[in-house]
Amino acid sequence: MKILRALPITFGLLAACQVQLHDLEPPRSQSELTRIQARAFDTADRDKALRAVIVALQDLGFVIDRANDADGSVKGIKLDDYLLNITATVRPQGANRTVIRANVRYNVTPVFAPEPYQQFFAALSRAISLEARPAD
Amino acid sequence: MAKSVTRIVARKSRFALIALIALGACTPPQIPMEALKWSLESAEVRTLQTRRFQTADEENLLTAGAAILQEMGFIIDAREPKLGVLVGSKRQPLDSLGEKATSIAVLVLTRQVGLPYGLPVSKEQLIKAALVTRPGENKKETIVRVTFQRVVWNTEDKISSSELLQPPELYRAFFVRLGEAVALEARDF
Repeated sequence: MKILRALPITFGLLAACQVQLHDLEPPRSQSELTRIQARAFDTADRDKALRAVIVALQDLGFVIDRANDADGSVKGIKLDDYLLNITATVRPQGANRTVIRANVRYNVTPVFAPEPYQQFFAALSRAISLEARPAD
Repeated sequence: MAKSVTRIVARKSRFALIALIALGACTPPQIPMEALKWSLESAEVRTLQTRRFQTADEENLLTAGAAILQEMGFIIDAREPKLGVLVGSKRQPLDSLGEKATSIAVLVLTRQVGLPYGLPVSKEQLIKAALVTRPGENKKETIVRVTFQRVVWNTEDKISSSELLQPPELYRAFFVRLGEAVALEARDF
């Protein structure tokens, strides 16, 4: 009987988390997400920025899967008994700045935690030899 | 009185345990902390995967690299010469005698206790390669980096391993062939 009483609670909790797992909306506001996933660099050299993204990804153990100059995007995959997908896009901002935005997916789960992005932008900052600044 | 309090606490603990198990089961997996962290090991791997060539002709190196990957059985999946990127992949069957022997030994052992079970063995692998060129600092040389990684599927069609390939011989052999193809020495980075 006690087990039967506990069942609705268990199913209720599992149902709640099913919704959470399949919710594709990021759990933060758009501006908060930009703060986490994007940085600005003081350069107007788009080619340099794209190549620096590639260098940074390779330094972090990614294999480049796609690179598209027209789109300004680079996609990398890292396999280490898990699957890590990253897509970085490069776009100019004003006359002298370039904004780089990254999206990371761990296996099938989008990553919204700030630390992995901070680590990526630290590697990118080293590759491009410029300081990573907050993006507007 | 003390007994009834103990009973209430025990009941609440059971509900708390069920709730924790239910919530724990649906917590999304966390990304490993070191997954995007640059390390000294990253620098060692970079040295292994990178060479310098005394030429500014990136296109020639990419073309030669594509030909070598094709000779190795890779299919060229993508090419972006403007960014110095070439991507290839190769799918091949795997046949490991060691794994098969272990699987048979486990099957013999488990059959003796009436629970026959054969360990799955590696069946197929997909190797992905990316060749990237970029101008060196003096603009008269080109830096070339190649990376190989693979995914292995077992006989149950599940991924049994996925990794960056790091045998130094693989990278040395690739760069020797690339150097021969462009008639230039592949120098250490």
